[in-house]
Amino acid sequence: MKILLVCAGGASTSILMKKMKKYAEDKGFELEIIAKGLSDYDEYGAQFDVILLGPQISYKQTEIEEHSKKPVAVIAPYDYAVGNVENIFKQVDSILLKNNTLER
Amino acid sequence: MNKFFESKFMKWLQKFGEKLGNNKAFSAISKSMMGTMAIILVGAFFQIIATVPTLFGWYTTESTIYQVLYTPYNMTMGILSVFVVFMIGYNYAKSLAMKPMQNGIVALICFLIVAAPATTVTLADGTTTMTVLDSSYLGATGLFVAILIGILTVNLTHFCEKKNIVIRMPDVVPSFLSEAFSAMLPLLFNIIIWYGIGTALNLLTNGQMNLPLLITYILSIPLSAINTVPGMFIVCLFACLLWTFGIHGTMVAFVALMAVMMQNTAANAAAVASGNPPQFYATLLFGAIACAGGTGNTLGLVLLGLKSAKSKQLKAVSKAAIVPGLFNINEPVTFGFPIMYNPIMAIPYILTPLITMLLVYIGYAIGFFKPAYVTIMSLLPLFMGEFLGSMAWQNLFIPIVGIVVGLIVYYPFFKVYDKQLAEKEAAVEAEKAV
Repeated sequence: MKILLVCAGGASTSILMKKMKKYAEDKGFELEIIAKGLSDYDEYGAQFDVILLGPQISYKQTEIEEHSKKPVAVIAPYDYAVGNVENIFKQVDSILLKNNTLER
Repeated sequence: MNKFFESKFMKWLQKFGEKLGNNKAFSAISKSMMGTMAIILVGAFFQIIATVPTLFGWYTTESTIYQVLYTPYNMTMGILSVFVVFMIGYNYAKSLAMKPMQNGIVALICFLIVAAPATTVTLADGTTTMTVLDSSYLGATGLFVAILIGILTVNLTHFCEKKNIVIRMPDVVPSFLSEAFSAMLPLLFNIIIWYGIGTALNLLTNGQMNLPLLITYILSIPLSAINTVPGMFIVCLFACLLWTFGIHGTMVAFVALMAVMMQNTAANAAAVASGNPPQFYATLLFGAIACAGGTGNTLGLVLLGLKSAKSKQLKAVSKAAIVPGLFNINEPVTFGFPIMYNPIMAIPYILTPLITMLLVYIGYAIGFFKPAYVTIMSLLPLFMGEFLGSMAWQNLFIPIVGIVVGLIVYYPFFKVYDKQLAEKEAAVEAEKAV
């Protein structure tokens, strides 16, 4: 699965990115993931299945949806804060399931 | 306390923050400013390399070696507005589903024609003539013009396209040709308007006034209110209030402030480059709201949580938050404690930066802290931004002030909240046990 993480500057999402990568490695499923800031996320959006936003830019959801034509979701604040990767992957799965693009 | 978040003012503030953040022009500006981060950092790198030896008296700012080392700064920060105007044209056009590159170039041309029209000058030797672009308004001083022209040129082109004021080619013409022609009219209109305004202004005032000066002058009226110590307190309050809704308030405030901040720091850079001490500007205080662990100076709170949290939630969050906090990233705190929609924690979250700012201001006023002259504008680990901006060891105490104030101000609120949470957790456990 391919996930694009977006927050204001790409800093706090990059912390989460590392945790998600590690989780995927441990569980042994394929994951392509990058973290970008608002200034350049749109250069990458097209290659990803789903775009996840940091809660601090939740108000950008509609705009990013319109732009990228991809499923966009805001990560639950508490999961984001403590890096509860399991819940976040559950969130991704349910989005992909809804869009019938779940492969794993 | 929950009534506070439901009050009319807070509702309005939340709407306002969201609207502003979603405004396409505003987004384009903030996106473009963030896009210049690398240019600014590289400029700062060369500025520091060139300036540090002068602090030790190894060479003066008049020496050739200084000039050589300083040139990369002049070609990055020194002409920052050139990059900004292009990026704004590019990003704004993109968000309006127009051709980004074309609009970026149109914005750049219009900016150059207003801010640095080519002129032929004769050098002091009396014989050599040269055609030059004066770079005086291409750096931070020209930022307001760059922002204005970047947005307005795209708006004009957008208007032309909507009203179908473009040159239409017969279908047999290859598309790359017809596209080139379709770009002509908006560019022409834009140049006529901007060059017209610039030239008229110049002629009417006998060359005393130009558009960059006029715009800076007009904007200086509302901005001079922000560019004061009380103004900075209000901006800080505003930014923190927005964060209590989970909106990135620092970014919103930053877009309003950054042009002034950059101008002030660039003025200090020029002062240092000519051997004078840097001056204090109120905008320097903005750094105080996020000097110790991110906006709200939450590092103190995280330390409290690590040391004495009783509740599982605060223990977990503090553990997750400490390392990012050392890099001035505090989303784990904002969303994990959480700060947002949490009146108990919102109070110290707003008070801590305000008190830190006051103390930092006193530090500047008595001359202990040194004004910054290196533009950094980037997220740096704890202590780095304060030191690199001013090259003064004294400024290492700014984050320390932030941490100490944080420890004291957050403490009582942390205790109350931690106790509440621990009781709640215990109740849930007890229920499970039954």
